[in-house]
Amino acid sequence: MWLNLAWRLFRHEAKRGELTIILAAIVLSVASVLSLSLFSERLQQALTDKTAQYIAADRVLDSRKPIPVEWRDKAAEMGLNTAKTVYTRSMVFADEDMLLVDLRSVNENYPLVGEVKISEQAFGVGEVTDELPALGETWVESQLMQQLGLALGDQIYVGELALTITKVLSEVPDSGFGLFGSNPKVLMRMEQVTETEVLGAGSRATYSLYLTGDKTQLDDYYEWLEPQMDNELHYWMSVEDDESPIGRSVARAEQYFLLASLLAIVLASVAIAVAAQRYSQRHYDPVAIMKTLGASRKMVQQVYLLQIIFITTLGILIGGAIGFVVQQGVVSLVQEQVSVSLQTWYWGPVWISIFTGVICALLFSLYPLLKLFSIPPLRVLRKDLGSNMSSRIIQFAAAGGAILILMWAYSQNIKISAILFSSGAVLVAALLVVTTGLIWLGRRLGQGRMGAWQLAWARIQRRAMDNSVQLISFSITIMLLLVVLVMRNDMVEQWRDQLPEGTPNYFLANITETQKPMMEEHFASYGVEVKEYYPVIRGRFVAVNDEKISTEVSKEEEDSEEARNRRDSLGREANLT
Amino acid sequence: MSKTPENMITTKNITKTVSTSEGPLTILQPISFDVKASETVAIVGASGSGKSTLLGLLAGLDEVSTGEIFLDGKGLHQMDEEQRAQLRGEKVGFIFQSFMLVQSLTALENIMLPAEIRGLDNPKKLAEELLAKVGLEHRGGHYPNQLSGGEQQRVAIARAFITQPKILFADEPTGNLDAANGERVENLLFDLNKSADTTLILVTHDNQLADKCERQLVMQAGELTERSNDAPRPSNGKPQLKAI
Ligand SMILES: Nc1ncnc2c1ncn2[C@@H]1O[C@H](COP(=O)(O)OP(=O)(O)O)[C@@H](O)[C@H]1O
Ligand SMILES: [Mg+2]
Repeated sequence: MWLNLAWRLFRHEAKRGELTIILAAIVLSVASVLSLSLFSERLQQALTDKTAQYIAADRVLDSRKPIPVEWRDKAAEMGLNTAKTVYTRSMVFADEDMLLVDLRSVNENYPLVGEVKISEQAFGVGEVTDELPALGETWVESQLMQQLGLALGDQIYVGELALTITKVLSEVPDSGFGLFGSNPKVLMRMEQVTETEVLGAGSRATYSLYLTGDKTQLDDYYEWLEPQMDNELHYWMSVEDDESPIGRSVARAEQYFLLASLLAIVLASVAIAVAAQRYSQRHYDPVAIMKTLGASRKMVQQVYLLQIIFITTLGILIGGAIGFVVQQGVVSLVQEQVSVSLQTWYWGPVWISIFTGVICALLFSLYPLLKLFSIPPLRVLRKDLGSNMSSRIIQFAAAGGAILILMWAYSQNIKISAILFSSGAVLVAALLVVTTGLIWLGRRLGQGRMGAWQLAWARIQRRAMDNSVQLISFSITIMLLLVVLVMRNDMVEQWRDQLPEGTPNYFLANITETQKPMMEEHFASYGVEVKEYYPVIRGRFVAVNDEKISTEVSKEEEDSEEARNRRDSLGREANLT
Repeated sequence: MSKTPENMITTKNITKTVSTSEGPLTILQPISFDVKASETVAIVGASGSGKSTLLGLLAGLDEVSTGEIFLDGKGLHQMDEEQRAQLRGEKVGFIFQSFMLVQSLTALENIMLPAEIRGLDNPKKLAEELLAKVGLEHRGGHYPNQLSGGEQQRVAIARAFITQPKILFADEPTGNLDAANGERVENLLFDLNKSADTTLILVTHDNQLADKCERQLVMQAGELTERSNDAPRPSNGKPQLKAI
């Protein structure tokens, strides 16, 4: 029955446009939060997908020793996709020649993410395949074929095992970023790796378990695995704790989005607070009338809470629709730069935007509503009677609480929220001190003069308190706007600073001395400026400041972390320029 | 507790004092009087004399400072606002100078409102009957701002009668109306009141309207006195509205 009356009031008011402002405010907050968070989620996912391609999985467990079978079985049991690989450096032989290669033995599930590309001739254009070399076969990179003078169909020996080259390997997803002279890759099946006998004692191989699946499944698996891991042997890699420059940029961009959304939220909250106050004032008479006609306080509360629920629901629906469309539009705008998928649906942003709408609507209308509920029925006889609520503590607590809750919910970072919130609180306090100070000063100056002056100041004081919340909200909005602007410039600057001025975009390697004049001519004819040619030569460090660097593997060293690190970085062949 | 059952209203030494910035202000001096059931009583007096204040106390919209009020045997002075609200819903009807219709409800919905608040069955049917009685059966879907002042007051009268209240309070019901509309509203009010046999307390400074009541009480600076029907009537210093 109360539903009836509330619904009727809501319908008429909506039709007469009385609810437009408050509705628009809720729509604005929900739409901005949904579009921003949904877009940033999609962008994040696109970048994570891209990163996943570089490691060929969502998570990788690297190990210096073979990975226990139970670990893989447990992963499969938990519903994860798995693949296994063993990577090592080894010599391959063809007739009289030999070459150090990057030997990659993979099982039939490799790669879990990304694509293997092959071609029919050396240096040909690679085409995507979802197959792998068959047993007894191998796919090798062009450099190997060139340097050993091989063709498709020829045999190479990997350790003790003879393998036939059936395809030229052009690309694997997890190839790493090495620019110069990484050893040519040789891809073979893991089932045959023992037959090669290259993984004997003292060999340096990396055994890997590749995993893909739901984030929660992956997290559960890691939780199970972590206690059993040996830090000396095992290394866990995740696409999400990406420490690369791209990863850090994405993280910064996400915080930027977050702040921008906060701006939208605060703006919308101000609008809701102002609109709710207006709404409440317009309803002083209806509330007095209802109470006069016998409505209990509870009835009045229910009627108006229902109205707020109706408005909030409508606002969330419209805001959600608009936010979705906006996000869809932005995604298609950036589609050319980043392949952002519109396929997946994310519930996180939906919940957070609904939550935002509800919190904004409830907490920012709380004080005006409480004021409305306290309107005395006697107002029907004495028009000047307003609410007898004078304390604004509830208003400040509700508004501050709402903003803090939203900051926290949205950033899921209590530190950022606390910093932003307390700087906002300081601003509010300062503003309050200034306004009350001015009013106090005004009264002091006016003391002893005629009543009109005092009357004017009393009026200003009343007005100032009435408008203080709006004043403060607008100040916070402006503060946030400035922070967002400063941060935007800062972020662009930081991105630029990551690379020095004039950093080249492309590199050409393996140019011989005789090719140089030809290359210069070629580039000059296309107007490309070639800055400098750098000689590159491979070599090994033998000593640093008289301290000899050992390249031998000895038992004692194997146990010493320090020695291993030194050997890793210095003992190997390096490109010297 | 002494009260005679046939008394609709009993007041004993009620006063009203409010606190203002210049200290306490006594609006009503001790007032005692009774109103019998079905009686029609006019409270007349100059504006600012305290008529509306008294009406607010009698109707349970406000609390007395001292004294006792019984409405249909119920001690208003002992009740809190929630209890008074319930009593108002059950026993009291209201008509105001400024109509006090809910602007975002239609005429028909405004009339239904008290019935809905009280939880009566089929409020719409009751409201339609009353709408016809006040001659506005074709205007039920109109909002208050689409109706003239006279029409709005007729809607308010219909709203006042829908719960069949035992007592009706009217505060200057014709105060905002021109003579012709005022007269129409007056007639309607008294007709409906007669057929429903309701006790009527009517505040006005229009002597002609006051004459239609069986009894007149005069408010003067917060003091209430009974006026016998044949006693000379003091002018309240305001020009009288006369029907042309
Ligand atoms: N709560 C209050 N505070 C201060 N003055 C009041 C209050 N209530 C009523 N008054 C004053 O009491 C006097 C009587 O008011 P009212 O009962 O409305 O008179 P009437 O209805 O006869 O014109 C007026 O001067 C009014 O301003
Ligand atoms: Mg009055």
